[in-house]
Amino acid sequence: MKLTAVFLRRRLWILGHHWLTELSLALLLPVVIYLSIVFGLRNILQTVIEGIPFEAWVQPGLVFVIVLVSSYFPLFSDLFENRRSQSFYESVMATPNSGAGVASAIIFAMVPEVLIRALIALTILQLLSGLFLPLLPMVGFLFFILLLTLLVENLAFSLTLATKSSGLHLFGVFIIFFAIVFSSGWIIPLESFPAALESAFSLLPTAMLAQGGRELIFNTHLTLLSWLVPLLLVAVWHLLNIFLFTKIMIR
Amino acid sequence: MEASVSLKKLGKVLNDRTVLSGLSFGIERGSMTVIVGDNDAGKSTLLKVIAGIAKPEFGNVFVNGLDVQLRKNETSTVVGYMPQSPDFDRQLTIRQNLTFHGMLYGLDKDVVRRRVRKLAHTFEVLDYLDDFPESLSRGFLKRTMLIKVLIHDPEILLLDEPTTSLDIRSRYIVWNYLLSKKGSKTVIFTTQYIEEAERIHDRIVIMHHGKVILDGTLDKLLSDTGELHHFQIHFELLPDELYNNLIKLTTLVNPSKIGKIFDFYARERKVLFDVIKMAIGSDLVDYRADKVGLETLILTSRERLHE
Repeated sequence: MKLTAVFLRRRLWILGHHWLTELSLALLLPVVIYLSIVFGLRNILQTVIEGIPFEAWVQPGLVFVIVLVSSYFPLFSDLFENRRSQSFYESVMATPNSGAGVASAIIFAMVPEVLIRALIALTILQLLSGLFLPLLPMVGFLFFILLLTLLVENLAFSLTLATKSSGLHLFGVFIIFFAIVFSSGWIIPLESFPAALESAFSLLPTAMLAQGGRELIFNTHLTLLSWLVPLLLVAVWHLLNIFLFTKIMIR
Repeated sequence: MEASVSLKKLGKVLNDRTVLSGLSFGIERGSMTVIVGDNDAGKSTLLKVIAGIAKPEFGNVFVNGLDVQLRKNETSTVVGYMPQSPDFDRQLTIRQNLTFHGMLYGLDKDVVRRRVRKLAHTFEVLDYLDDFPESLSRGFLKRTMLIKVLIHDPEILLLDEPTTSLDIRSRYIVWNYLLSKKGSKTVIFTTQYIEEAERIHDRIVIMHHGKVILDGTLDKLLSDTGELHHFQIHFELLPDELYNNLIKLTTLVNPSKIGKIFDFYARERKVLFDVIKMAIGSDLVDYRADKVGLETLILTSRERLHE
């Protein structure tokens, strides 16, 4: 916990150096995503999905898109840049901290800023659509955002550790992002896909989170599997990342 | 004297290549030990193993009697490791980097602030603390890297080429500080500067392909060579016939031909005259005679190892 606080302070310093850019991005990203996705898709897709207006239905998915982008790139930049061109992590590992502690601190220190970005995005999206989602389920929805954040952080962590070329990495990430965004029912309902694909995609943890989040917001109903499966995946993946990180850093 | 760092049959293999092989020696508390050798000698790896950030395949490293692999959290509080290349986070200022590093050792922010100020004053970088690492020259970065190593006041310093890319003034500042800590801190450093190794040390360890080939004080190492002298005679022309005749002299050690120069070692200075007598009739241009120094010692010991 203490180590996470140290890494959190580091993140605050970094954000403080370009707070204006960060703030602009946090405010503009939801606007850009809303304008480009909602305005285009609402005329193509059904205007009402599962009895919910498309503008309201898509909001959790749009927040997930923002969480995906906001979680991935800061961690990639932190871990990749400081590992590739500097002995930064070598010196960090020489301190009295375990590989498990350092890996966890890197991941957990990113969470608060992603949650804040997600909250800003939620507020802006509701203002833009004029559709205000119920407050209490929205608080519960933060738990789904947290799970997605940890899932993406762990994905970023593994891929960054495995990366030697940033160009190749970013190309791979673009494909993965594309697949996640469109196959998880975030902005396109899974029912739009053929039945076989729909069944397969619904097993994705990212799809489970979206489905569970919507269930909670619109039906005030919490389904166990929608958060338990992603939570277990996060736990296992985190352990794997700790193992990889320690193995790579102390050779 | 009590050993601060002890190695027991230490071995390390990287990518199927032996980088450290059967190293066993102790380093006395408060001493200054220089490790010299070629680029692939294993110097940096040795420092990393002592710092606990590289795992040995064989043997053990003990810091203050504690096994580094088993008790890393305890040993790393008394060790300060400085890598060869800059270890700063480019997104933070130097001050933030130093504070972050101090906090990784669990130090209070105020303690870190005081130490940063004091050390920055000592190393003359006070005006650059709020700059980003990228805007500083390599020399300034090296000095600030030293502050980073010293921030938790370790008793053992592992410095991988601490003075590479430093100008004369910076080197003076760095050595002035480290020499002032002689006796209270154990310093183990690597260097590419032979004159630095000759001047600043209690002990020299010469490594080659992961092995220690010579170990001791400079005087002891030189006396072991039996007062070897190094000679170079420059000829106008050095035909093979003359060269083959010269190398028949049994008092020559390691003779060789470098263009028009006849290069050799000898136990006594008078051997030079024997060579000149044999070469009479040939056009001699110049000659050079030196007592063997560390540089020659490294070269000859390496050659002897290959023979």
